[in-house]
Amino acid sequence: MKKEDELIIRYLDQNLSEEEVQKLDQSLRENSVLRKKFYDQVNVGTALEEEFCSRLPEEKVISFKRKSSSVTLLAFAASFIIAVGIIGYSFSNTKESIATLASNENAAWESSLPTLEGSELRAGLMTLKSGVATIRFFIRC
Amino acid sequence: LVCGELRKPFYTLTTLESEEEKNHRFLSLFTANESSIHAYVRRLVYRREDASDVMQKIAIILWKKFDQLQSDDDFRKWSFGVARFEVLAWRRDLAREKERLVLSTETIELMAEELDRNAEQLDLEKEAILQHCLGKLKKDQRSALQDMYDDESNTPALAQKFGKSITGFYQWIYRIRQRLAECAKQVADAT
Repeated sequence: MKKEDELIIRYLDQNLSEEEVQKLDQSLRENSVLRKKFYDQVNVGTALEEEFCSRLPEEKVISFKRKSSSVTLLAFAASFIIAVGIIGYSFSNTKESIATLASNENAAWESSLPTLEGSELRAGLMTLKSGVATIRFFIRC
Repeated sequence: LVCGELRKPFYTLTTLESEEEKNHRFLSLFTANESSIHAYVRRLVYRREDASDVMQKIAIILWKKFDQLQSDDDFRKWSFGVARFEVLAWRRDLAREKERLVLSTETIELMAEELDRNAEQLDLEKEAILQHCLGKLKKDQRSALQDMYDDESNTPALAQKFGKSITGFYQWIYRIRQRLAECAKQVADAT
């Protein structure tokens, strides 16, 4: 095994000195075979994450203001992102809960999903019409 | 003036209708491509948390600039371009803050271009790893790989657990991962 190969795995483990990162950087730029090895290692890493990583909570606060006409689009965008986020997570598993509705502050929802504080959410669409809500997504490490 | 008054309501109505259609179009395009965009970002951004942050920015930018998309057929190419730009912004911010050591902009740009060209093949290989190749690992090999994703583990402790020096442990892990990559290529090429 070459020294550069070891640098790849240690880089991915975030265990390189500044000098070693520079060495790896230069080698990657000059060596297409090493780059292919790097892509292989990273690709295996993404697969291993999907396989092994536990579910951890991540908090996302989504909010918007009212009144201004220009804010209407922002409000819609905010609700839209919620939909995207939830649908996005549906790729991993559509039957399990993917998030918790952690809090509602004067929140008015249009949603087929539960909107009570503390509700567990499955993949689906939620539209936040007004107020502030906190959705805690379950993500893998 | 009269024409303007007549046109205005019509214009507003069509705008509202197209907004709704646009939302659905965006949703279906984004959800169809989200997995590939994420994988592309993840291959360039080596920490999962960073990749998650970059993905959020990409989703918002894609939505805000969706009107600039010329054709639905171009969504993937367009979204990868946005993703590449955001990865470089992430790299620039990290370098400025000197928070972590990362590869240079030139190297990331070079890799982004190559990964863009090979994204579909790599997606196939990733699926092959999950569906076929992981099952072929020996028990201790699988255990070592899994332990590396335990938040409370550290490499020196793992090396000791598996009876290896730190360098030996890294070399062992690298070889296991390389074998998974070779297995994935064989499976992907056969399908």
